[in-house]
Amino acid sequence: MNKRYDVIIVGAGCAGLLAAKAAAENGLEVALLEKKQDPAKLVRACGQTLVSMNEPLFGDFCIFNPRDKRIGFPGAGFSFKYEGPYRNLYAQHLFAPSGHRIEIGDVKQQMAKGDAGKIGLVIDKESFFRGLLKDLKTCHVDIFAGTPVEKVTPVEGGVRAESGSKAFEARYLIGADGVNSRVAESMGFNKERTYYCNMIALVWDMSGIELPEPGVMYTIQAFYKGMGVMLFTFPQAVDGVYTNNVVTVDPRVNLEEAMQYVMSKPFAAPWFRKAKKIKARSAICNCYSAITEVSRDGVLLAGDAGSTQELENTGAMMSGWRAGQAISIAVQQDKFGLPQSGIEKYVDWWKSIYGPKHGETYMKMYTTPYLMPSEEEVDYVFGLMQGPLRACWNPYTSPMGEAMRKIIPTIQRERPELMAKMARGRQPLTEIFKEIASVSKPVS
Amino acid sequence: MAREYDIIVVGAGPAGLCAARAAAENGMRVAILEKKPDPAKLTRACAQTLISMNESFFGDICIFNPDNNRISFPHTGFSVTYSGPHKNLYAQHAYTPGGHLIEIGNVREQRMKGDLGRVGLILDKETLFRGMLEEARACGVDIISGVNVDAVIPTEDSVTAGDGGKTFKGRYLIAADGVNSKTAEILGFNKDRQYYCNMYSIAWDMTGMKLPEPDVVYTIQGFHEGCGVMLFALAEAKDDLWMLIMLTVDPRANLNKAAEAFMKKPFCAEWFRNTKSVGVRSAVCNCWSPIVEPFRNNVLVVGDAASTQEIENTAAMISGWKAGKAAAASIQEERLGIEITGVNDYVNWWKQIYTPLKSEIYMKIYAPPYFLTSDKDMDYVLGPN
Repeated sequence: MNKRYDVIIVGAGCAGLLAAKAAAENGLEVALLEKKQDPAKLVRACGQTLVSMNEPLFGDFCIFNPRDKRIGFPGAGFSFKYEGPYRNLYAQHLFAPSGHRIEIGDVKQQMAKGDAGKIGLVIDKESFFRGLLKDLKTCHVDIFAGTPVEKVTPVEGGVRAESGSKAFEARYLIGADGVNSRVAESMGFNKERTYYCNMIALVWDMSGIELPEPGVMYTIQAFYKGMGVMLFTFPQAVDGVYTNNVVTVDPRVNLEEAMQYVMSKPFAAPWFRKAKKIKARSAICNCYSAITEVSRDGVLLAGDAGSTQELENTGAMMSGWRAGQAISIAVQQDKFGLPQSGIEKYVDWWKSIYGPKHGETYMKMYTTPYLMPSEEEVDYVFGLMQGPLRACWNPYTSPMGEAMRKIIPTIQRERPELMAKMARGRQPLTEIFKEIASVSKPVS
Repeated sequence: MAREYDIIVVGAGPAGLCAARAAAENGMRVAILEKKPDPAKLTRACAQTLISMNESFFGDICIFNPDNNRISFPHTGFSVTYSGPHKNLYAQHAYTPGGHLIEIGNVREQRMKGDLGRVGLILDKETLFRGMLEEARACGVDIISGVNVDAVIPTEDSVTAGDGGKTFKGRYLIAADGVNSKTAEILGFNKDRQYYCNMYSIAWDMTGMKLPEPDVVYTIQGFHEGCGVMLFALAEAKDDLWMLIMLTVDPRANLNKAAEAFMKKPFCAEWFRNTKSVGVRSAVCNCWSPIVEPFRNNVLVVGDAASTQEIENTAAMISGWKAGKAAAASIQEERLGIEITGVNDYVNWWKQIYTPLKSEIYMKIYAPPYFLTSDKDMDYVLGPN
């Protein structure tokens, strides 16, 4: 008979690692199951950033403390060591297809504020993984690498997770296996969710990129063969390496070609003159509406596993930590026969902080090509916007919405036929993404 | 010229050390000012226990996790290191003056339950302090010992504290200077409080004590020369070390003599026959009604400094942690130019969790001598009938 754990955590990403740390610090017997052979290795496309450093996010702040090399969340009251390299981001510059620039944040002003001016922090995710994994070993978490969980079933007094011929049992399980969560699928959480579309990303780690300004995230909205794509280019935490990330929700896009196309735009081409590809990573994400009830039969979902796409690293850390504490409370209350409140507390936090609406707000970022369906139309609309806008890198409070509202009367007057297309923005997401949803299907 | 910090913490006890670390982990520059030259040394009487290990306490559950050397609080969501010795307490045996025993908890049954059956945990507080000091230092807290804060000057956006010599300035000050908090007194927090009485105690470290059950805390109620007193006898965390505490709220009681007399009572004389005192500490505590508004003039009052007497080591840690992270959140909000709400989290928690009613319940432990006014009355009411 295998060891029976207090809690199994599926997935050693941001959410799973923090959940394991919280549970283990409370003395729980923890098994952490990770699909990858080397849990410290980054294999999927990821921006490796912490967003919203100058604003609250999910009811908390993310504070980076370079002196002691810690990342802290004072609302939840936890922190962890981060000893890897980092880089501050002070602004996001959004380019229309023709090169008109909207400054989200005045980079000089933000830099002058020092630490308080940074909107995001670029970290090295492998360093983060290594640091947390080291912490977990010192508090006796059993880590099983190369163990993808395919099936989760409730059993008498607990939960069972299966991976190939191996099986693990525990009183509780935390599903922290990301946006295409097998745990959520296996436990039937996805049945009540609305499927919007997929999100497809290709990241090239590149050297030799020459961006106009340091500390800025460059974003280019474009169309490739008539399909909307977005390119994000910004420095990584490691010196001399840049992230070049092309994202679309249209499954028909050839991302490699689209990347080359956007990079060759006249205003952007000089940035990439000496650029060299070091490595490529990709990701396909199922975008569902967020789960409201993230607990069922002893299983709790944390991080992206319960959300649309995505809670960002920051939100995943917060929800992982809270899920780990919630299970610790539940185990302790079970032991003493006290009334149960641990899981309820987590579900309440999830519902009040990460409501289904958040997921919809997030997805709005990707609706632009469906409301302004050509490069000319996006150029026209973005061209009306006067920057710099408020410095913000929080997908839920972006100043773009407000800037858009200001120019609506002009569009109404000058281009009523475009206004009619843009009015679709008020429709439900399923309606906006209807056409691409018809050619997409969730990956498993 | 004052040394400048984000947060000044006065007092390096369980509350102050937790407050300092919670703030420092979030990048705040923190100084702890501690009166004692050696902050790890225990100089006042203290039972060195964590109470309520089998029930919720102050909205949290205290979990001891010896495999990882940690004491944790899952509701509040933090843990502290503890690598010293420990002993479990499974029951309290209360004796009337004449020797009638009231068992609070069946020790055999509780022991059978193992860790789940313990009602309290005995720790070595100096080891706890050393571990917490180390954790605080590791995240950049300046621990400044030998500073007996006797001046606290708040301004609109800062607080300056000092001892006549050195001065320290912070955006916020966290008063964690215990039940007789000078900081609370200086800032006028005590004006709205009701004064109940003082509590006097002497604690002796002893060898050679032979308690009937080694993992039970024994109490004996009674009178000495007309003054109500109470004896506590229990193990200490280190092997063959025991603690005897005499307590009273009557300033006229002679606790030394009362201890001598109680130790000779026929039903317990055997316990103490071969004891030898190897250390002694005392304490006098002001017992006030708790502070209702624990935040004013950029000062947060935490732990015993804000409560009657006392919220125990356990709750001191919880309230310290809550205050430290609340102050850190407020400073972050201020830096980013958004509305400051962080401190409210602490204030709301304090009001919700620590109502005046609870402090009155606590003080009732010390009330029996005032309605059962002789050994005879106590034996009759608390006795076998």
